[in-house]
Amino acid sequence: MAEGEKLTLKSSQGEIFEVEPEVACMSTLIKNMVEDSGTDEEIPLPNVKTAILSKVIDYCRYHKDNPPEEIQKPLKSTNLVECGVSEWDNEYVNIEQEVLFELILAANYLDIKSLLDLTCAKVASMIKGKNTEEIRKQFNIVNDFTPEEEAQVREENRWCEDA
Amino acid sequence: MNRCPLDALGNCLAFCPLHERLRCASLARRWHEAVMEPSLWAQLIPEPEDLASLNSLLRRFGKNVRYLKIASHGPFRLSASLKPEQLSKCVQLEELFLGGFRGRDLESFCQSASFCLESLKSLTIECDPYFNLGSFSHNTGTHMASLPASWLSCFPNLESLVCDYLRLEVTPQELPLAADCESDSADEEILFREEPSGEVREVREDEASGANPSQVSLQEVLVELGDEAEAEAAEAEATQATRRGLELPAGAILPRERRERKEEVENVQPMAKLTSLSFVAVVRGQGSTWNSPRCRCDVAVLALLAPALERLQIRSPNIALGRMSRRPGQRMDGLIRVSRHFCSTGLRDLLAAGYLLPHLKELKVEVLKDDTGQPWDTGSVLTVPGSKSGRPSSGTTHLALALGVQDRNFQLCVGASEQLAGKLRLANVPAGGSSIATFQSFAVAEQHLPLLQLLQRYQDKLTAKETTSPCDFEVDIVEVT
Repeated sequence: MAEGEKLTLKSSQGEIFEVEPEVACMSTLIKNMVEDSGTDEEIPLPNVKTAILSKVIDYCRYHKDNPPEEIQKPLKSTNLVECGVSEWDNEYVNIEQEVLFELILAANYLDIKSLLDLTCAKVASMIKGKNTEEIRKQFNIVNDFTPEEEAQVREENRWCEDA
Repeated sequence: MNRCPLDALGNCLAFCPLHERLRCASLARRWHEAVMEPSLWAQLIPEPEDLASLNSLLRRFGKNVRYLKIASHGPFRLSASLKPEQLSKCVQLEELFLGGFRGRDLESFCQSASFCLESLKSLTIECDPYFNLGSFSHNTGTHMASLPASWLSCFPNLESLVCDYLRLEVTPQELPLAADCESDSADEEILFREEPSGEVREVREDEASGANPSQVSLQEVLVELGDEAEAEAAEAEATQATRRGLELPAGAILPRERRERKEEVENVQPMAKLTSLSFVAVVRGQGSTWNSPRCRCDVAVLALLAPALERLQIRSPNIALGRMSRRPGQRMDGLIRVSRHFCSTGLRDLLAAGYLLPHLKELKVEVLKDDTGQPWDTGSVLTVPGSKSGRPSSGTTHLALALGVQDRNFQLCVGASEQLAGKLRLANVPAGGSSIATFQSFAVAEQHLPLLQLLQRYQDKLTAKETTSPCDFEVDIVEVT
């Protein structure tokens, strides 16, 4: 590939993004596609919407020269900065829940581990300190257990309900 | 969130503490499925407050666990929450970290050895601070931080071990060679003698009439060589300093074949597959005096227990600063330095380590001292005088020869103070051959030279017939933080 040449990424809505190869190749999916098929053709990303792809590219551009730190597991605090996340990353995931989930899906599809970790850590920070009902309410989760099943699951995990 | 793939959901749960992770199982069926996903439990790191439910966790998810890290803290005692037999539920466990042992926790934990975990490759045992240096005596803390070597037979495929003291509870029948080493000087000795023909040959102690079987003193060696003037000088020197012979364990210079035969008869090898060991000292019985035959870095015993060792790290004990008293005005870092120097490893303990451990290729020593008792991180510089016989120094270094590693690529890493590291920087030591030469001047005490020259000649004879490619001997000085 000639110097300065860019990769062409196409979102699910048909929007075209011209991206530096080293930025785009932070995605293992794109890296493999480039290695297999070269860089001449545009790379279709049918599972990623335009707005989300734009946000993913922002992340990759920022972290191209600033590799993210490992995030503490398990999280010790609801404040991600206290768990090893940079201020920039913390601000990056300070977004609406729907966008956050779209980002998780995109990071999972594009195989960008650091972005997947960051977005998943954000979800975990939203779970932290909440009881079952509060978590359901937070994420609009519908309880689809039968009463018997729920009782059994609760019994299995009684010690952590008390914790 | 309902569209989220299971693996991504699992990734979210991996950031949750265990009790929150399990709580999520009762949110909905999909979440329950994500929680029960085996890959989520491949790594299990319970918090101290989870320890009360550790048994339940291992019963449900133990079969999926590959990495288990348990560190007790505060009122949560590891010995109260985990019995070694429970580990046998973790049939895929490859890496185990157990930390926070204090008091008699480790001793009681290792009481049971009625299980076998064949999958385990790496074991780390971490004890709370235990070493106490007093004004008039010291407490090694071996009762708190000793891991019985026999207990390791529960992990027959162990390749990497990090522990503090390694306790040997053996009878002479069980480990005859180790038992032979009971006294400081009881290793089988072999002398070097130069025959009238100029040939250097090894002489077993029973052949060596008139020689103290327990020691090969420099004077005796020099007299054997017929250099009486040098012998007198050496004798004079010996009267000034403590007269300590340079004895070599038998395994150090036995032909490989003969050593292999010894290993064949050795049937107590709980660490037979161990290739990496980080530890403080070998302890025999209730050994409690630092650097005594019952508590020291005994490479000969290590060679019997773990003959396949490739990487060896010798650490200082974990210092219990809270229990030590300080003199008025004494700073904490001064107390740490005194303790570290007190616990430094002598070069004599490492002599011929490479012969004893034929696969050894990396040696890390936290604080090393020479036979004059000078720790290497005090900045004292020992110089190597030129050979009086005019014999040029061999390409391989004296240090490599002393360690018995001249036949392989080898890395020696000495944890040094900033002072020594600074000295080396000032000496403008580049990487490669010249750094070896500079390090040599730190490494080899003058009194070792005659013996090393003899070893060199002996080695030359051995290697004369074999053309070997030059080996790298790499020395790395690491600053201790």
